[in-house]
This record gives sequence, C-alpha cells and structure tokens, in this order.
Amino acid sequence: MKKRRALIALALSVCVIASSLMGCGKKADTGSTSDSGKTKITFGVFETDNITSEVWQNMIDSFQKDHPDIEVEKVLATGDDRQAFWKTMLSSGSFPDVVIEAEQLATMDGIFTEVPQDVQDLFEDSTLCQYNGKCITVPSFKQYKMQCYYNKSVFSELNLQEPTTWDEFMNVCQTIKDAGKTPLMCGGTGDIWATGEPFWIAEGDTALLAKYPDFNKDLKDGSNKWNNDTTIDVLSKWQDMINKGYYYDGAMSLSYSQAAEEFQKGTAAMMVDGSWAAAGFDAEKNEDFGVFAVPTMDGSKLTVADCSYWGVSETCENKDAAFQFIKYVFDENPDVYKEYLQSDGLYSTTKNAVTYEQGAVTTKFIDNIKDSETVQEIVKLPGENAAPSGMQSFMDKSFQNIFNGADVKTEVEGWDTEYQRLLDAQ
Amino acid sequence: MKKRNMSIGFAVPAFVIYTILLVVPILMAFYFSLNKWNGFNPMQFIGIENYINVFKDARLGNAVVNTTVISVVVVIAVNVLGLFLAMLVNTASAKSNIFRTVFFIPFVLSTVAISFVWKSILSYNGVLNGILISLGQSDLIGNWLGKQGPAIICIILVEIWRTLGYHMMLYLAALQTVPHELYEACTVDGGNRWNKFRNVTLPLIIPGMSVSFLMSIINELRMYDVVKIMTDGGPGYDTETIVYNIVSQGFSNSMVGYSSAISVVLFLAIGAISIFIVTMMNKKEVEM
Amino acid sequence: MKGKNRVVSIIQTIFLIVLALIVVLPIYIAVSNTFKLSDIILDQPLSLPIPPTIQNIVSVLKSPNTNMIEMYKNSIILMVAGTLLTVVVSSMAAYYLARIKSKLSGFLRIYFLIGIMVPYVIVYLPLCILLRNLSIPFGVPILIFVFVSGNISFATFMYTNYIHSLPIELEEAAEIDGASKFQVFWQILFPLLRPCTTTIAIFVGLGIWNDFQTPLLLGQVKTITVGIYTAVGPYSANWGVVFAYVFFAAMPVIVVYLLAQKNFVNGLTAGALKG
Repeated sequence: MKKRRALIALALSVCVIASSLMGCGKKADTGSTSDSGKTKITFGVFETDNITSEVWQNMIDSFQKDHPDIEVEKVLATGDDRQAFWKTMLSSGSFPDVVIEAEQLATMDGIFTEVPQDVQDLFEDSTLCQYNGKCITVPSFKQYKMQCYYNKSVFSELNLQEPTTWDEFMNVCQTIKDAGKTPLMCGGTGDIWATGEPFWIAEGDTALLAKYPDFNKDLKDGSNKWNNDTTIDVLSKWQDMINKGYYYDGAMSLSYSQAAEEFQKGTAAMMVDGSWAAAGFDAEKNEDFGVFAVPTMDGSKLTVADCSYWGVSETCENKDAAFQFIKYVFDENPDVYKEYLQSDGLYSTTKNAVTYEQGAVTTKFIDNIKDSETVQEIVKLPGENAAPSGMQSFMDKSFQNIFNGADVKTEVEGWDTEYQRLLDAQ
Repeated sequence: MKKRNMSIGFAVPAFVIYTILLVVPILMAFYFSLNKWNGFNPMQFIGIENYINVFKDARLGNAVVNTTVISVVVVIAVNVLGLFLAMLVNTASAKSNIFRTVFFIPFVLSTVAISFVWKSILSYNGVLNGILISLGQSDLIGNWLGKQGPAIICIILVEIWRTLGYHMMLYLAALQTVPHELYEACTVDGGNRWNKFRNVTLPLIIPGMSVSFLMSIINELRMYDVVKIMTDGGPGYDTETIVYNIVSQGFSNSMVGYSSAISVVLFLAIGAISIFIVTMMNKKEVEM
Repeated sequence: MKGKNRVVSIIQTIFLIVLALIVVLPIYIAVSNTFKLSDIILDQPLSLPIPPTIQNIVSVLKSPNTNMIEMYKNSIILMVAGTLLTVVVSSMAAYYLARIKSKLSGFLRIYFLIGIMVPYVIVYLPLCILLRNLSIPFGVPILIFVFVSGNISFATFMYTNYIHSLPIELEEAAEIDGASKFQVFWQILFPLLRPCTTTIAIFVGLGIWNDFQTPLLLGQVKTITVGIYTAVGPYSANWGVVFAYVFFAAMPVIVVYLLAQKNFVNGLTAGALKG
C-alpha cells in the first residue's frame, strides 16, 4: 500500500517532467472565446503621458461598436522595460494576440504570424520589412527622434541663439553653466533609456550612419564593430559634457517623467527628447519652450526616424479577427488612427496618409529637419539586420555607466561582446 | 502495522504539489542549464558551457560582489542589533511591548510599499533632500540613489530597517526559552551581566541564533524587490544583485539556458552555506 | 548599585525611543504626506497634514489603470486560499513525518526541507515553461498552488517539529477507542497544533500578501503589489500619488497587525525557534 502510493506519486511526477521537457519548444494554445460567445482578442499596449488609456479605449470602443462580434481586451505593459515585459508574457504563454512595439520581438523566430497580403497592401512599401523573408509585422507609425528642447526664457535672458553647429551648442551649454544654471536634463535609474539614449540617437546614430551607411549590415557580417573611432569620439565628447557639469546633478535618480517635469519647472535649460515631447507641449498649448535639432558633430544633415510595428502572435487563435482589428485601425476608420498619431506627435505609415493639425512646437520640430536625410536608429532597425533583442537595454545601462564615469573604451568593447553574445543566444 | 502504513496518504497532497510546482521546475532548470535555448527555438545541448560562462561573466561578477557586500553587512547588523534589542525588550512591561510592536512593523509591510517610500525619501528631489534644504544645509544634499556607493549604502540601510524587527523577534523567542532559574543560579554564583550573557544566554540561544543567521543570509542572497524598485539595478549595473541579474538574463535577454545555470549555481551556493551554518552551529552547541 | 541600574535603564529607554522614531519616521512620512498636496510635500515633508486633502487618494481611485477592487480581490483570494491550503497539506504531511519512523519518512523529511534553501528565482522560468506546455493558463488559481508549493517546506518543517514535541499518548488512546487515523488527526491533533498554525498562517499569509516577484514574473497577475508597481510608473513625479498608492498597499496590513498584534507576536514566539 505504502509503496504503491509512493510509486503513483513518483510516476506522476516523472510524467510531468517528461511532458514538460519534451514539450519544450512547442507552444501551447490558450482558449480565446469570451463568455458571451464573442470572438475575443487580446491587445498588448503601453501607455505614456501622451498615449493615455483613453486613446486605446477609444480605439477599442469604436472597433467593438463597428464589429460587435469581436471583443478586444487591453493588456497593459508594466514596468520600465517593456521588452522584458513582453518576454515575460511570452514565457508564461499569456502573450497578447496583437502587440504594439513588435519590432524587437520579431527578431526571434516564430513569435509573429505572417501578415496577409491585403493588410500589407495598406502600408507604404518603404516602411514594410521582412524577417527571414517573411513580412510578420505591420508599421504602425513613424516617429522622429531626439531634438533639443529649450527653455525660451533662459535663452532670452542669457541672449542665446539656437545653435547650428556643435561648437555653438557647446558654447550655449558653457554660457548657461557660467550663468550658474544647469544646461541639460536627462533621466536616470527609473527609466534607463532616458539617460543616454536621447543623446546617442541624436549624435551617435547620425555620426555612425553618416560614416557607415550600412552599419547594421556591417555589424552583422562582422566587417565593422561598435568599437570604432566614431563611437568612441561621440561618447567621449558626451562624457566630457558630463564631466564639465552640463547635466543636472541628480539626473541619475530621476525617472523620465520626473526629469521632464524638472525640465518644465526650469531646473535645467535644455533637454534632448523625442517628438512626443513636442506633442505634449502642444496639447497643453505651452509656448514657453522651443526646440532645435541637436547639431551633429561632423555637421552632417541626418535625422533619426523610427517606424514602430505591430505584430499578430503566432499563437493567436483568431488571427482573422486580429487582422480585422488592424485593418480597422489603419484603414477603415481614419479618425481612430488620427487620434493615435496626434496624441504622440507621430506620422502615418499608410498609403492613404493620415495627417492632423500640428501645434506650434511640433511644426517647429518638423521644420528643423526639413533639409535632413532620415535614417533609422541602429538598434531599432527592423528586418534582417536588426540588432538582437536585449542590445538596447544593454547600451542604455552602458550609457549610465559612462555617465557615472566609466571608461568609454572599455564600455564600447563590452558592446561588441554583448552584441555577439546576444546574437549567439537568440 | 496496517494502520501505520495508512499514514502515507497524509503526505501525498503536499508531496504532489511540492513536486510538480517546485521540484520539477528545479530539475528543469538543471536540464535547461546544459542547453543553449531562448525559450522558443529548438534547444541545443552544449554541456557545461553555460557554467563556464558563469565564471567568466564580468557583469555577474559585479552582481556577486554587490550581493556579498549587502549580505555581509546586513546579516551582521541585524543579528548583532537584533540580539541586543531583544535583550532590551525582553521584559514583561507594557513599554517593552510597545517597542516590540513598533520595531516589527516594517517587516509586515510589503517590500514594494517600503521601497517606494524609501525611494521617495532618498530620491534627488525627494523628502530627505527637501528636509536638508529647509534646514539650510544645501551642501549636504546628496545624489543618494544615483551613485554606486551611496546607492548600495541606502539599500543596506533599507534592508536593515526592514528586517531588524524580525530578527529581534527571533532572538526574543530564543531568549524566552532560557529558564529564569539559570540566571538566578548565575547571580548566586556571583556572575555579572557579561557572565550571565556568556554562560547562560549565549549557549541556550544558539539554535535561535542559527535560525536567525540562516534566515538573514538566505533572505539577502535572494534580494530582488528593494533593488528592483529603488534603483532598478542602476545606475548602470552598480546595484544589481544576483537575482536581479538572473531575472534580466532570463526574461529580458531570453537566455533561458544561461540564466538557469546562474540560478543553479546560486541554489548550490545557498545550500552549501545553509549546511555549513547548521553544522557549525550544531558543533558550537555541543561545545558549549 | 540601584542608582547605576536606573541610569542604565534610562539610557536604554532613550536608545529604544530613538530607534523607534527612526523605524516609524518613514511610515509617518508616507502616511502624513498621503494627505498633503504634492507641491508642499517637498517643502514641509514632516509637517502634519493640516488641513488634510484627499486629492491624492481620489486621483488613485480615479486612475483608469488602477482597479483597486480587482487588486484587493486577487490578493485576498490568493492569501486566504494559499494559506488554508498550505496549512492543510503541510500539517497532514507533518503528521506522517513526525509519527512514522521509516526510511521513506526520513527521506521525505529531507526532501521537503530542501525547499527552504531554494532561491525561488530558479523556479520562475521553468515554471512558466512548464505551465505553458501543460496549457495551464496563468492567473489566480494556479498562483495559489504555486504559493502553496513554495511554502510547504517551511510549514511542514515547523509542524513536524511541533508534533514531535507533543505527547503521542492522546493519539494512541483515541486509536484504541477505534478512531481512524484521519479522525485522530483532525479531531485530536489538529486543534493542539493551534499555536503552530497561527504562526504559519501569519507568515504564509503575510508572505503571499506582500509577495511581488512571483505574481510579477508568473503572468503579471494584478495583485496589490504588482498593481501598485504598475500604476506608480507614470506618476513617479508626483510623490503625493505615490504615497497614496503605498497607503492602499500598506494600510490593511498595518491595521490587521495592530489589531491582532498579540497573535503576530505570540505566534512568532511560539514557533520561530523551531522554524
């Protein structure tokens, strides 16, 4: 009796071990019909000060009104590292059916399903991309990255002009510093990207891409490295700025929204940030702040713009419904797409371009780059030559190390090691 | 004989839950650790390569150093202070009771809540710097969480603050097992406070002490919540702990095999430390 | 001699009071600032909230991403069910372990004990993958069992030692009277375990209520801790709102602790040494 029970328990656990190990690599499917008998899809999103829950809710509500047979449930990404969040969901089998910001996840095989031709046809050809020969994501918007916002009153008080060359930019910083004010603001531990990414995108990406237009490809086939003179030069100059005290002392303990608030309160005179900040100022009709394109070090006229992508999960049970949702958002109801774009200062990627009325700061932002050539951010480039996922947060952490005085050369050597390690692992 | 055998049924529910949800995952972790796997694509058996990498990983090494520094300081502090406090409040008065209640409060609160409170206090634009400014001590303002040294000290202080009451309670429980007659006997023999402590208290609370040490070591080696919320391992990797490292390798970088290898090593290390402490304390107990 | 004792006692009391103030200060800051407007928090962090404002609390309740009721519901279900189940299965297992002397029970005792040393982080990823392969959806139900599995070691160990210390005669007498093992356990032994059960219930229940990592990494179940972690993000610039969230997470625990403080303390003293 005793032995038998023990044996049963043992057998049971062996079964579980066996099934779990053998099943590894396979994906389980979860049911997805809601209680009411409607088809249900889950929609993974994140929210910011601009893209609030109302934006998503309006999108979902109007879709459900026009497609009463489909129910959309919002899944909100939490924490500061959204990629980590999606991967947690992926590991736990509760990955949403439709996910925004899919470009990094798409580098891993088998997560997203192929996009039907009729959906692909809705988008501008230049924005579509392929992974292993398949189109598995749809471009949701184009976004211009990282210009320098400034406090107009500080600039007029110190008689400063918007700088157009790197040296002028440094002069502006020094003048503000000499006047006893803090020139620049950035975020820190709460949002790791907010420390170095804005500056890196404005200076590093542009400098590297000006010199090596196919940097991503070179990196992947091994003909180039992160560790080159350009990278070192950009980062050394950045560290130099930090050492000169151009950045706010407490930046490293601020989250992005804290940093942005401190900047608006006037704690620092400038802050390098993306086009979403312009949309934020415009939404509040705030005209106390101006914006200029951060002058590149080599004077090249490049500006970074990224497309963001949505994907439909391979494990989604109602792929038709999911694509119906995508078609609705990007095609059937332009108002929905417009509200989404306008909320965050984004630009449409569809063949039928959707535009909206721009506020003063956004207009200035776009005006600043009208002569510039647009390039894609290196770590965010979608498609075959995409950087392995995890690289971006590694670099973000590395920027923080550099901010706190780490040796630039050693850090950048680490980038190559990590790039290779992540590539091998994925 | 028959009745005795029936009892195994009592252990079966616990055995099944424990085995499936704890032991099996641990065995899976052992298996994963021998593979290169991102959690989705087919696994690739690579033997002990992950383990070799564990010992070459500079970032992990840094996390080990951080964890060790935090653990050593916190373990010593909470045990010494905990025992000291326990002796002070080991009386049956209402006053002692209030102190016990107060000291224990931080331990009943969730680390999430605590970490947010401390974060709000220690942030650059937080309460502490606010107080310093209002006291006119602007030059004392510190970037407490934004630099490695101060950030680790802050984390250590928060951990001590959080767990001190718990260890005081453990020692208090141990102290209350010491029979009063022994102290009286010691007094009769002319023993002073130190004699009483050395010859009566200490030998008798050795079991409690080993529990307290063990609990604090295991707790600190598993540290995650406070770091995650207060500094998110930053700036850079400056306050990253081992568990934080495992979570980010496994979940953010999709290195299931590698992160499993680290956690297996951590598991074995904790096991070894636990066994070491228990045997050492047992030996001490016998000697005394 | 008497005078010296008095001086020592006064110094001790002062020391304790200072330490108690240090312990309480952060809690005071959190509670009092919950009821102040954010812009005065940094100027007067230590002042009493007069007049108190409930603006922070209201903005938390109104926040579209914060469903307090769902968060409380999940946390309470997890805590109650997890604790009950842990108590039941562990006390039963401990009965076997403590009363049967055999190779198997010796083995099981060590088998269960191993879990105490497990750094739980080793379990998360495999558990995710295990549940994915077994097609078990993440959510409150499975999380209950996960919490039980994590607490069995501790609880079984405590119960085993406690049962050891109880005389076996009562059970033997009952068995002679014809009671089954099952009856003996539930009717005779289990009531005797009450002090130990209290300790275990407090520790397990509190542990589940306060756990952050497990619900975060296993499917982001919206418990009070995960919910608050999620919600604070966009408000991190507004300390008043952060304190209000903390207030919601911590208040129930503080209230229960102060009401049942004797149980917390007694429960602890009764069992801790054996834990």
